[in-house]
Amino acid sequence: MELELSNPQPLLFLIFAGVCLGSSLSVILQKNPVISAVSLVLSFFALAGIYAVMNAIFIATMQVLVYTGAIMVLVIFVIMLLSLREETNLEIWRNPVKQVGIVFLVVLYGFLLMAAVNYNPEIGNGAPVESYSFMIQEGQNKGIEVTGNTASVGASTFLDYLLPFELVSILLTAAVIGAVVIAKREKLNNPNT
Amino acid sequence: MDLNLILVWAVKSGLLFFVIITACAYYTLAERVVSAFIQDRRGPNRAGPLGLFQPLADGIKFLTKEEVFPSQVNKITYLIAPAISVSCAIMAWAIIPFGGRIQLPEILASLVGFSDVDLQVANPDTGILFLLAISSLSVYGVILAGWSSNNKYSLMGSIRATAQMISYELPLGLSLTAIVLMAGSLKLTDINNAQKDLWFVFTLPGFMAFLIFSVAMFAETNRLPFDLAEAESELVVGFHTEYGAFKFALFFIAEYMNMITMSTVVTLLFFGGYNVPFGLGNDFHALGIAFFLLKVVFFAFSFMWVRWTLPRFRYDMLMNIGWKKLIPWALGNIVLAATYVVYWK
Amino acid sequence: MNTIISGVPLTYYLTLAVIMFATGVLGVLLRRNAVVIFMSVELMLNSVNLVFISFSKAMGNIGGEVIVFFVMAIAAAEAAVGLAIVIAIHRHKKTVFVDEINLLKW
Repeated sequence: MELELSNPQPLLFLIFAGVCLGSSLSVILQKNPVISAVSLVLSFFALAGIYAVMNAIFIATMQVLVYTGAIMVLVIFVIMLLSLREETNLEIWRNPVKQVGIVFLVVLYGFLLMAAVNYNPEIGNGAPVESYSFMIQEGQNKGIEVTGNTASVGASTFLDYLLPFELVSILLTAAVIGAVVIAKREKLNNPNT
Repeated sequence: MDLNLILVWAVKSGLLFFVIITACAYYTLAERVVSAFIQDRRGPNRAGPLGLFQPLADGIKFLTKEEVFPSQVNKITYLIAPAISVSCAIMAWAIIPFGGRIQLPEILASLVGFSDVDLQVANPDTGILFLLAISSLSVYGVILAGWSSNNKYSLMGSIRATAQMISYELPLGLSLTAIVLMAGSLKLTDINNAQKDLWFVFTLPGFMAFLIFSVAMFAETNRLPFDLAEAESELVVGFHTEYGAFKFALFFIAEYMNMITMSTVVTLLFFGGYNVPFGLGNDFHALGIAFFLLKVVFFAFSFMWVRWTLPRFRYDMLMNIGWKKLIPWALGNIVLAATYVVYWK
Repeated sequence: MNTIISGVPLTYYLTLAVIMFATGVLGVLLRRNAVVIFMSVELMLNSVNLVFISFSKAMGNIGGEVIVFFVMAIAAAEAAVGLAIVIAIHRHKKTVFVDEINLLKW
């Protein structure tokens, strides 16, 4: 083990990773969908903790705000409103095609795991202090330089990645309108009223 | 990462936890006394001089009551829900600054090896977003409580309360965006220092943001005039109908702590935080902390004042205000704040 | 390239991400409830986010975090539309189990 457990960060990473893995397994193995959803919330929260350990504090906060605070609330609402019942036994164990498929997938992900564990890029110099600089292209010495994680992500979003940002906003509008239209209750056209 | 830093953090967290739990307990007493005076009667005054031991008496009562488990509840979520509410209410205090950087007296400074201490447990880059994230998490306490209680009234109360809380997170966040634009940073200490000359509430976009934020703040904490989800005459008690004894005490503490947190956020963002006029605060930190606490107490009082002044909103009116009125105003306010920053500064 | 991020080697993050991804895939294949399948897809998206962030920190390029920001926004949009479809299907067939939604099966 190359981790130095005297620092708090590797220790925190191990705790959060353990919680994350445990609750991910609980998501797929629990019969009651509400417990699955609550385990997924726990898993996302642990993942946000891992992002914070890595010093990606803006993304950690976004993970809690967007994933646990909005998406999972929506999922739990849907589960509650539809009164979903628990699943019965997993009947796929009896289908031989699916059994072979699962074995194949386990082997495939085993290979992926080995690749991840043995990944050894060349070691360069340390990552720079969290900062971001943007030079305006006209060749004059004008530029923007910001330090700090949130400022860097914000500056990069609005300077380098402005087009994807605008496209994502259009996509979100389309998604909101689409969701409202799809889930709307059809009005019963009663000619007598 | 040396042990001294961790020791200082642990001491700060412990002290803060103790202080806010006591503050919350006495806030419940203050609520009863203020409500009583507004209604022309006396509050509780038997449990000690001026009723000051009333929170202690309430605490003992809650701890010694019998724990009842209704029969068909889902045990895990039933027990987790009040824990989530209270944890989120307490977690929000990790980034609230009470003052600037103080110098420790020499006795303590020699113990820990350094003498500059921030009066804040943590100061992440994303200060105010952390508060929004934690208030998004506190929705789970409400949802899981209502659903797991196996009771129609609880479920309806919790669905209404949840829809209200998630709808009003939007104007809350959007009104904060205007303040962040004017302050130039998300960190609470930077927002506070940007108000050294002029409180943000005295600028036009700041004032609009304050109006929107205060309406959203009442809706987020489920207080009158937006407390349809837990009104006694409407839905028994709403989502915590089936909770008694200590579990109810946890919900109770969570609600009052959320109110104090929101009062603190309003002071920090709009009313100057711990700044002292004429720059006296750099030498006398206690003055800054005292001003801060006075403003927080005023806003906490305003929660109780508004409760007994305004009638309750109907649920569809509530949703109407949140989505159709506050959000367009907040969006327009962001444009106003951006114009203010570019042209007036 | 810096392979130790905050005291933890890069491979540990990648391993965690692969295990989460495999868990998500198993969830999609093994479960019948459409909402649980959707949650497993979110698990897969999150494992990919973790890989993006760890490489962003390793290479010192802030673009990885920006991509994660966009992935989160798109996941939110997908959640809204996907769950609206699940609600619409439930309204007609009174079930969300994906093996019972088989009107088009030959």
